[in-house]
Amino acid sequence: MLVAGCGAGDGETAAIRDARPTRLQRGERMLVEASSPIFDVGAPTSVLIDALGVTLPARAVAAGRVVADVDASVERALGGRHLAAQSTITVVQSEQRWSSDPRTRFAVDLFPHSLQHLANGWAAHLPGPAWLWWAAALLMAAAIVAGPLPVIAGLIVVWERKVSGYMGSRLGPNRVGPNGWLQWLADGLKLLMKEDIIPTEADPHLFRAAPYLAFLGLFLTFVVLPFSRYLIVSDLDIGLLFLLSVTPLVVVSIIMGGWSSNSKWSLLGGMRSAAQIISYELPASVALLTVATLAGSLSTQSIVASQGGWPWQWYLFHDPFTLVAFFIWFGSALAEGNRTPFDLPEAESELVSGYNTEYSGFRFSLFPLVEWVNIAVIGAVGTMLFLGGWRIPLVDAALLERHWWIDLAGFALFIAKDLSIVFVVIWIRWTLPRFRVDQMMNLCWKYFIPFAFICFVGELAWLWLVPPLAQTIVSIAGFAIFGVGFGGWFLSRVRYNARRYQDLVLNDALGRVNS
Amino acid sequence: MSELILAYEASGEEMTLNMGPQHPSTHGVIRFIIRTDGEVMHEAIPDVGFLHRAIEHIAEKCTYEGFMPYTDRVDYVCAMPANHVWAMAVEKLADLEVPERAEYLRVISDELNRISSHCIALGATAMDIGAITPFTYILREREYVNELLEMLCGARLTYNYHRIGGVGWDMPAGWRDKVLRWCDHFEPVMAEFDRLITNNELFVRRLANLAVISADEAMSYGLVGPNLRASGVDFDVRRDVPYSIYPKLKFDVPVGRGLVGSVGDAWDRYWVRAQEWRQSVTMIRQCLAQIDGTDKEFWKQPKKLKPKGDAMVRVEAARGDMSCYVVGDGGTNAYRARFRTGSFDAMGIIREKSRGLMVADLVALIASLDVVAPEIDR
Repeated sequence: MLVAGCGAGDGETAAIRDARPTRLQRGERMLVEASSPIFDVGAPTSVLIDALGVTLPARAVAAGRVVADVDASVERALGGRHLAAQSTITVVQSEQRWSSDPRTRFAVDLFPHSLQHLANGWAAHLPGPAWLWWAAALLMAAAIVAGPLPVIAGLIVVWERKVSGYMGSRLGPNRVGPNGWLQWLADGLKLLMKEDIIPTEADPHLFRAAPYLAFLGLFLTFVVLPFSRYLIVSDLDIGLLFLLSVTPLVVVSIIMGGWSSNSKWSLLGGMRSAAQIISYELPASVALLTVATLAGSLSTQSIVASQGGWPWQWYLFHDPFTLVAFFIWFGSALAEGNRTPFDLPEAESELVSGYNTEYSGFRFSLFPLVEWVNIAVIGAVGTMLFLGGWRIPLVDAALLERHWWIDLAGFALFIAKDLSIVFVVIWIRWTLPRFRVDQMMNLCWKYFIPFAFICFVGELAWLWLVPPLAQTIVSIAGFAIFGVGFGGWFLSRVRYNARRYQDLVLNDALGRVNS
Repeated sequence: MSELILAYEASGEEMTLNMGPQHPSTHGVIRFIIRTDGEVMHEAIPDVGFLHRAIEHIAEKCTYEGFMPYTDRVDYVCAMPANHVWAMAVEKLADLEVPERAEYLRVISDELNRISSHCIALGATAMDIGAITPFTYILREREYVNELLEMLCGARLTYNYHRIGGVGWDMPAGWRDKVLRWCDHFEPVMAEFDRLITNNELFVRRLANLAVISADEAMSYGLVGPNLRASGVDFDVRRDVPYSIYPKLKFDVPVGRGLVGSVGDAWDRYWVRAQEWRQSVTMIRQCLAQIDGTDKEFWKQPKKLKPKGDAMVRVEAARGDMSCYVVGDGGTNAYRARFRTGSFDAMGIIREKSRGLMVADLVALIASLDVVAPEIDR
């Protein structure tokens, strides 16, 4: 709860003595008190009087108290009238300085603030209770975030089918839209028009609820994904914990779907999924903890900001432990996303279709939607934690503040990194066979979890014992060996195989002329 | 079967799982009743007969020549050897001679068909383990074989190529070069396939030491062909009960060696088939080199075909020893015909070998035995 008042005293003593309508003359002080410590002392602060549209420079004198000096602009805007006692004000705090010190908190939380402002504006001009407009603003924000999800899923599906097509010497979809890129629309429409069947013996309520729960778990991750410096729904202090706590909602939905279908194949898929996702949460969390230790923060924006733009400043190459942690995290993310080689819950050749065997129509379509958006989320989390996020080389905070298009470039960079991880995920799916259940559990409990803990402890020792210069040298050497060396070797293999591909595939083995 | 299911349901902890006949990985309409405790199977009981078309009875209703297209349906994945075994059986019964050129063409078509059949077997194994790309990859090669066989006999799957007393057509002009060219192309593909999947760590771990069949077991269950040889039994009908022109060809018989696990495991069965590809290619090359020296005649059509007596012949089909027993009573139709096929026996050992495996392993076991539904039921 915010309470505003004004008086002539200084900030500390002026309290809310005078909450009557006031002319707000020059020289007076306005005091904003919050019932909980929500302000950052020392951060640039301003107070916006919504009814006037006037912004006053202010300062936060305590975590619960902001003081603003009334100047001539307010006088002019009021024009001698009184300010209504019920008028609302908004306190805006922003962190202009952008420090790579992880302890400096990012106070940019623009989305809730602007949303609140928008809702206040609506409530001032339109009839109806204020909470209704606040709910409307929230709904609009949710639509803005959720809207792209089907598009992301659809495009990744088409991309995956094309990649798989080319890998298996086929063409992939190439009929609907330009070069097949609208295939996802046709697929989606087809699924929407299918009959929605609920098996007679199924538990109808759980059966109906399961797909939405999967969607919810996935949708919530978008709250903390930092797509650029400003493009984030909310930079929560507990960003990583939030991420780790909402993603397992998907497993609840898979178990619900598997159990409520009343089919043995679905049940087997659901049970596999439960075992798998719960087990792999552990190494994934510990691997993320390694990075959180390094950044000194769980906030996703702080983790990105504490990395640099150049590859050797990424956490991936920070030291040998983070490199291993990356692979542990990546393997666990594949397992949590039910992707090959961990696609046991929907193992097509064993369990028909696993937990979603009995689903049809729109309810079915939500499961693949979640699966494919999940790949994008895996890519985004990997980019954010290990690949430097939206950081561009040679761009510092001041430059980023000055030009809006640099932030856009950061967004593009983030998406590019995200897509490269998505490609690796797709590529793995179409190359590797599947684990067996016991092998999958062995890998997790005997290898991933111990190594994740070794990485975590090793990381702490590294930070404590190794001098900064040596750390930098190791980072650059790591990048040289694994980035340049491995990348170069890989590219040479690609080049070699591309030549073989010419011989093996493009030229017809029977000597016919391909049209 | 239904009383079986009821009996097992009563026992409490066990779950009875019905797998098939419409299941993606049972390789056709085969059904398994699985008694399972969670993921671990207690037993998988095969239930065959969904694809029974009474082919042996049809043989009694058709003339000897007229039955030839039906033999394609005995095993439609590898139809040439079934053609071959019927032609050989009737020729032995009626004491007919076959032109040498026809023998060469029969062997070439058999071996090409064996390659395409093994393509399906190996690709399907990879797909059942979860790797989809190797399957599409190797099906591209099978497509070339289909093209070649289409040039030879006009059909891509059910060939009806062999005739009693020869083959239906001589090879078309330029066909020899096309086959040789394809052989050159296929050799690097086999090496690439090995790199892609055969030696893949995950793949090896899934198949090594899985469902190990000892040599004694293999013989007592009557396994034949690659399944038998994978267990270390060095027996190949082409070499040990020679027929056609196989004695003139030089080839090795690959035998399971337990390279990654024990002799007779699922990976060995897979590996033996991959090695047979290579042997088939060398045989095709030898045949094409020798066929030039033969007469132009490729079919001695028998004028009157009313044999009496009985005959039993065996050939090595892609799924092993395929035997045909035919009895003639002096009429135009066979009095009785009987095919003995490899897949039926392979189904017999599944119940024994499935004990204690996981559900995912059953799929790998079926795939490694390379069973094909029509060949089981006929």
